[in-house]
Amino acid sequence: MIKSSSSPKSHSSQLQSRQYNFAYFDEGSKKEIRRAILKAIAIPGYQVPFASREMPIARGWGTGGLQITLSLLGKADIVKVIDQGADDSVNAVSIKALINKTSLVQITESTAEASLIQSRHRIPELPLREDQIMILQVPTPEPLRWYEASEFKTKRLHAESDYTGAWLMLFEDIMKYGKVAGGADHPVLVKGRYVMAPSPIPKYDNPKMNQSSALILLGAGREKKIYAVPPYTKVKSLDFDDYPFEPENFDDKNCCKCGRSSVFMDELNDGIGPVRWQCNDTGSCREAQGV
Amino acid sequence: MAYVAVKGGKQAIDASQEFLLSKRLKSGVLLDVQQVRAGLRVLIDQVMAEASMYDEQLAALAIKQAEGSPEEAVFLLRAYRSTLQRKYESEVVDTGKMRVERRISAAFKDIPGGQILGASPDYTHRLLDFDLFNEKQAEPSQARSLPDDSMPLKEDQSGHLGFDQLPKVVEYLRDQGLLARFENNDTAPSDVTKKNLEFPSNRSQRLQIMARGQTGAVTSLGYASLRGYGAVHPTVAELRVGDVPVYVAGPPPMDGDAIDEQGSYYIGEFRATEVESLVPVNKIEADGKQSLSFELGYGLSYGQNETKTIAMSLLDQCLEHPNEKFATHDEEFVLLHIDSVESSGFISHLKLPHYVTFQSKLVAVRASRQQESPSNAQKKTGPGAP
Amino acid sequence: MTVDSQAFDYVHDTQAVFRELLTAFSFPGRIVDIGEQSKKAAQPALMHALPGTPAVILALLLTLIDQESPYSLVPEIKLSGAKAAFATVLGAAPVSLDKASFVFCLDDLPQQESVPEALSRGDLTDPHSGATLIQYVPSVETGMVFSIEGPGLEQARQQKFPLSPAWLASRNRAVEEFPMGIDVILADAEGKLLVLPRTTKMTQAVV
Repeated sequence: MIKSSSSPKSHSSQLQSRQYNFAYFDEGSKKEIRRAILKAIAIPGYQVPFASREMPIARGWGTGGLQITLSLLGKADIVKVIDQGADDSVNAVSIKALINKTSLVQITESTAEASLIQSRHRIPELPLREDQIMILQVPTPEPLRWYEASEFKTKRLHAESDYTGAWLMLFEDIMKYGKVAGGADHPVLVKGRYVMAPSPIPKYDNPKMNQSSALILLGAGREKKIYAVPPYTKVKSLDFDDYPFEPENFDDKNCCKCGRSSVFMDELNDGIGPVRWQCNDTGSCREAQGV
Repeated sequence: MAYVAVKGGKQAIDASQEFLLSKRLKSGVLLDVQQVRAGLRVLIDQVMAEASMYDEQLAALAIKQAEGSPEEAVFLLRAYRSTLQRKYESEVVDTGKMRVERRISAAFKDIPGGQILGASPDYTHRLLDFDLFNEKQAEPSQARSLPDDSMPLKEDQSGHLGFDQLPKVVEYLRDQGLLARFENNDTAPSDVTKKNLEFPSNRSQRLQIMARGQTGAVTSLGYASLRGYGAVHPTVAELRVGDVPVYVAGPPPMDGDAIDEQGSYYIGEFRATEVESLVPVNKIEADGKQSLSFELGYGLSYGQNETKTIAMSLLDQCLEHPNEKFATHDEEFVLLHIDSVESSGFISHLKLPHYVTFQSKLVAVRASRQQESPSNAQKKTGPGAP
Repeated sequence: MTVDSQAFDYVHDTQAVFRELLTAFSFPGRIVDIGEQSKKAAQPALMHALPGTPAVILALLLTLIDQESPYSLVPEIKLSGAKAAFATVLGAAPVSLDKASFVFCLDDLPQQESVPEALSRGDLTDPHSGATLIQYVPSVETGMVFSIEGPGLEQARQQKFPLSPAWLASRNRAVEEFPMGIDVILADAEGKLLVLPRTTKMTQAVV
């Protein structure tokens, strides 16, 4: 096992990087994940199975995204990790600490600076570039799972392009509530072939996947699937002609910190003053404030 | 501090970890890993089995670090296992060559080699022994008088058979033609830790997943099947606990395609529990006649994990016979939900912030209420409202 | 501790090669460069073990292949001693073409022309099991002009590829039933690569 040369660090973190391979995994694990990633890019929206090693972070807490990030990671990368749009969320901080511990790679809170962005439940506001890679954490990669519990059966539905289940779920919402009631993880059709779960990003973020300049990789660690949306690929949120896809609208709200509107916002209600709104993407909010 | 503050997440995590550490250290009494190893043998066996990693020392360390939580200890070991290179496969292990320490059969009153009770709590009375409060380091004289598990028992107790020569009970049934004899199938196993499980699964995959399944989960599902949520009625033909040797093939020959005599290398042994259960099965022959015969349900685990291994042998039979009426006969239901790391991980992920997805749900709920009665939209909603 | 900077680093050089491959898969037709890693892969020890293997192919073998990924070499290696050498370096010996996930073709045109459609295309349930073809070429930057479009390409583009119309016909047959298909990596003597995944629509450019 060849260790990389590392910059001077505190004793305990040097110890860490000496006991583990660069970026945690052994090379055999990384190879398997890398092969899965390449096939995922070649078949947009299709869930490629992979072995999915256990990580020091719990299943359900981002191990899929993390396995992708660690398999991509090189010494020159700059990594941003967010959760619910926030760099400082406890889980994002924890993931960054693990990445740093096992690779000593530079961490950033700036979307523009990052080469790899791992995220749970949001795509950043700032449009990404061709030299960046977006990595999304996925709890449930199977968009038909609520319709059909069996993995054996959903594999075959995808093979046969039988997506009546996905349409049915939307149709039922419309019948019951007069509109599509689901919020996040609204299913999309990729390259006109595979229906895909975009991960629980809000509907607001779905359009960012269409013709993105950056590669988007999605990892489900517990369910052991990797899938991808290559750059410049058609991604369309499922809808009906008479009930078109309607993302959340924040045009009439202003961020209490930076004043912007028309970005995805968090509703803040501390029970004292009136309800306030704040940019969900904390990195872009700070940049807008100039802090 | 809010669960997500604009600043402060890192400090909060650091403080939380220090607090956790202090829980283990604050009494000033530190648990020695050797004490864990000496006194928590059964927990070590459970943790090694669920982690599918056989290393008593590391398991003891994990248990100490996890303050006794099997869930956390298994997680630690599995995560460590992920970092290890996997270059070799052992040769097929022959549990017939197990150096048996305990071996019983419920199917027959007497078996060749005898019913050997070994070390088991089965016949102890579960009465709390308050004397253990005062138990200190064993006096040297006391230690000598305890049975040494490396001491061979008297020959006549084993019927002149060595402890690594005890025949399998099921061999008797095979000889009688009551249990089918199969040719050895030496297809390489499908390693579930290297390749994703797909359905329909094969038996190798099913057995691996159950062997590393969470003890409680496997036990509960076996119990459910036994109580009627399943169609399998087993009898334990044999349960054996003992040490099994492991061999690895020597390096391949460099010249020529001919496989020369490769040496096998003994690399050690591991303690295992093996259960072979017999299940009567109705077979419908080609001519429509029905006949009853036996099938084998198989269970195997690292260490001494008897309850789980018996349950495993039961579930093995359940999954050999898919049956839409029972969840215990549904391979996806059983295999996808018994893994400790996966189940505890996903359940505990509900503690992660979900406010973005929740915001979407709020929007949806408010919108639907607005449609019911527009006047409600005027009222203030959300937590903390007076 | 001395680090031989000329030695192939099994951690960082494989990572660098993989990242270039990732870019090449994401942006079909775009030329990427693994010349530096290829030079390092061409160490005496490896060249001695796997004689006749171009450096760029060595770099790709070391990055992609292990005992979990069945691979094949075209033309097939006949010498069992050489097979054993591959097994020692990569963890597994090459297998027959129909079983391979990765096929490394060192043949020149026109022998290459029948290869694409001979490879496994996967099936509807598991399209990812369609093979990856790594075709060694003298240069990725010369040849006839072809037109490409599809995912990863903002617009259709025309560029030179070292391929023949017959090869293209074979490849297009292999990818005509998306999602099944094969994915092609072209690798040249200088260590330059480009990728044509199955999603790329490729036609001869009309002059």
